[in-house]
Amino acid sequence: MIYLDNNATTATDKRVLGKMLPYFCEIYSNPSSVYKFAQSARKAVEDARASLAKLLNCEAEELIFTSGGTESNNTAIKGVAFAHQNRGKHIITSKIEHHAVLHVCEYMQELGFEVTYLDVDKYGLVDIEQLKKSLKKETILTSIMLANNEIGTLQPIKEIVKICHGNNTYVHTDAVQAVGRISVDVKDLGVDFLSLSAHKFYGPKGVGALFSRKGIKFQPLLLGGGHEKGRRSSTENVPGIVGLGEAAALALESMEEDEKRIRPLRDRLESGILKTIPEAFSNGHPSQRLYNTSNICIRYIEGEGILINLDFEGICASSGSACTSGSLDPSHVLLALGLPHDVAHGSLRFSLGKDTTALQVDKVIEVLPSIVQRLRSMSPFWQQK
Amino acid sequence: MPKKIAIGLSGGIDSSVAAFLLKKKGYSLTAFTLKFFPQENKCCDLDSLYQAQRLCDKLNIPHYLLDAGELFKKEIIDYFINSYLKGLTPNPCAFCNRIIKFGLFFNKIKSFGIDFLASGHYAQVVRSGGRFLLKANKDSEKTQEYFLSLLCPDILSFLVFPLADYTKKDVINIAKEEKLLFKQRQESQDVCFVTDKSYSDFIENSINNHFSYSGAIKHINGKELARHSGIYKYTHGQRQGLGIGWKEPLYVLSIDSDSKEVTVGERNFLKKNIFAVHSLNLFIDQGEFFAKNQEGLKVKVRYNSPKLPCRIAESAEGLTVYLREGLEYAAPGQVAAFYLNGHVLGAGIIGK
Repeated sequence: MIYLDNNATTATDKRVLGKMLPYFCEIYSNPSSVYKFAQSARKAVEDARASLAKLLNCEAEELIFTSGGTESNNTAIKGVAFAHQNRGKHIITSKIEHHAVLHVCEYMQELGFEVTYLDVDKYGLVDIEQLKKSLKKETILTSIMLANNEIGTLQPIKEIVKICHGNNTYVHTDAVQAVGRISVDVKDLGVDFLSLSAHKFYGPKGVGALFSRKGIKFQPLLLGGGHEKGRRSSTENVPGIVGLGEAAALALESMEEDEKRIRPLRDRLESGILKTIPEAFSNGHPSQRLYNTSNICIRYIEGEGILINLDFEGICASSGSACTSGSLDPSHVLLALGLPHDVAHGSLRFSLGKDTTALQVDKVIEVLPSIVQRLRSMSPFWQQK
Repeated sequence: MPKKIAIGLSGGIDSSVAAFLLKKKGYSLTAFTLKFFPQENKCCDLDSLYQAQRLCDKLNIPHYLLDAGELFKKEIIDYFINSYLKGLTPNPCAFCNRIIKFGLFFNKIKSFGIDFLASGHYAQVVRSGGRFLLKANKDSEKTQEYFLSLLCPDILSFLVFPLADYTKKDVINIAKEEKLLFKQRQESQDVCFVTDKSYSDFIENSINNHFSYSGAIKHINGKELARHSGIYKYTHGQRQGLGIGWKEPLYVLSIDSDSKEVTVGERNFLKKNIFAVHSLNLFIDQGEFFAKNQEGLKVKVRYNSPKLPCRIAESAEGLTVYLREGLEYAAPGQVAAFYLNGHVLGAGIIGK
C-alpha cells in the first residue's frame, strides 16, 4: 500500500505506542485520585504537557488536553464568544477554514453573533485589507487557520495577530495541520488560542490540545468534575495524552529532517504529475505551503473516479478533506480560490508522510497518467473540449 | 484473470444476498453504494450504508461510495414532480434503473476498468437468437424485469442477476443462515425519496407556486362537481379521497394540466381497449418488433397488473396498443412493457 493521505491521519509511531501501553493495564489510575498510585498517572500527564509546551514554546499551564482538533476549535470559538459577548458579538474567520471552524461559526450566527467570512486570493491567502476593514469595536475574535488541510497554504498569522491585537481582538488559529510538521512558536506568532491534534503528527487519534494564553477568559465547553483546572472537565485520557506528549517530543527532534526529506519528494510528485498529464494544475501557494501537501486539479474528470482507480493500484489519496464520509461536493476551499464548480470536482490531494519513499512517488507518477487517460477517454467533457 | 464484477449494494437484503452468492462463486467482486444525498431518503440512508459496509467487511469485498445525488435530483426527483404537475403518473424506479443504477453507475464502473455489473434485482438476462433479452426470474411472486424494461439495450450483455434462480423466500433464508443482515430494515418499496406523508405533500413542499395548480373537478358528462386545490393531488384511476358524494364510486379519468381540470366518472369509463405508447425502448430491431405482431404478444401496463394479449400498430410517436380481449386501465406516464414467450422485447411510455 502507498499511503499518501497523511493530512487525513498518520500512522501512530511505534515509539509513541510503546510509551502509551503501560497506561492501559498497569498505570491505569485516575490522575485526580488521592493515593500514591494516582501520582504516576498525574506525572505522566504533566510530563506530556511539558513536552508539548516545549514544542509550542509556551507555558505548560497554557495547554488544555482535549479530544482533538474539533473539540479545541469548538472550545476556543464558543468559549471566547460566550465569555466576551458583553464586549461585542462579532467574529471574523475565513472562507477556507475546516468545517470544525466554519460550522461552529454558522452555529454562533444562529445564536445571534455576527460572523465575517474573509475571502482568499487564488493561492488561498486571506485578504488582509478586508480583515482590516472588517474589524470593529464589537469584534471579539478572529479565527484563521495556520495551514490549510486541502491545499496546504500557510497564512500570515503573525501579521493577522498584530492587526487584530491593535483592535483588542483575540486571535485563534486552527493549527491542526501545522503542529508537529513545521515549527509553531506561539510566542512568536502571538496568538491567543491554538488548536492541535495528535493524530496528524504520528500520535494517537482522539487526543489533542488547546493552547490558551494565560489570563484570557473563556467559557469551558465541558462542565463536570473540574479537570484541567476547570477548563475541560472529563477524566484525562491518560494513554492518549502520553502519546501526544511523546509525539510532540519526537516531532521536535525530527521536524527539520522530515521537511528536508519530504519536500523534495512532494515536489518530485507534483512536477512529475504536471509534466505527464495535460490540462492539470496545482493549487495552493507556490512557496507559502505545507511541504507535504500537493493538491492537483485534473480537468474534465471527477476526483472520485481517479481515487477509486488509484485505490485499485493500492494508492491512498483523497479528493479533499476526509471528514465528510463520502462527500463529493466540490471543495469549499477550491471554490473560494475562484475555481469553477466542475474543475473543483476533479481535485486530488496527496499528502506525504515520514514513511513516504521515492519509489512510492514514482509509482504514482507511473500509474496516474494511464488512469487519467482512460477516464478522459470516457468523459464527454474531454471529448467536447 | 477472473471476471471482474461490480455490484450495487443498497444495504437491502436482495443486493446483500446477491453479493454473497457472487463472492461464493469466486468472482472478483467490487461493491459500490450509490449516494442520493442530500435528499432524505428512506432506503439509502446512513443505516443502509452501515449494512453495506458491514456486509463487505464480512465478505471481504472492497466497497466504495459513489455520488449520484446531482443526477438523481435532476433526472428522477424533478421528473417525478414534473410528471404530477403535467397530470401524468410517473415511474421513478424504471427511470432510475435506466438513468442511474444502470446508466450513470454502469459508466462509472467502466471507467474503473470493470466490465460487468451485478444487482440484486429479481430478473434474468437470457440469450435468444444472438441477442440478449430480459426475462422474469424464477420467483413469479417477486419479479422486477418490468422495472428494468427501459434499460439501454446495449448494456444487457454486461448484466449479472445473481438472484435469477432464487425466490424471495430463498433469499430471506440465505440471509438468515449466512447471517448477512446487520440491521432490521424494511423492504425498499414505494418511492424511496418521498419522506413526507404523501406524494402530494412532497410535491407541495418541493414547488413554490402550488396555488396555480387548482381547478375544477368535472364529471365526464360535463357537470362540475367540486373544486380541487392542485392537480398533483390526483392520479389516473384514483378512487379514494375525491371527497365527492355520488351514486356510484367515481374514478379519476383524466387530468388536464392546461385547464387544471380533473375529469372523473364511473368505473366503466376508466378501462379502455386501446391506448398509445411513445418513447419506445426496444431490445430487438424495430422492424422485427413490429413483425412480432403475432399470437402471444402481451403488454404489461403497471407493476401489479397481469400481462394482457395485444396487437400493436406503428404510429408517428411510437405505437398503438389494441387489447385482444377485455379492457384495461393504462395510466399516462406509466411504462408499458411488451412480452413474447416471457421475454421482454421492449417498452415505452403510455400516452394521454
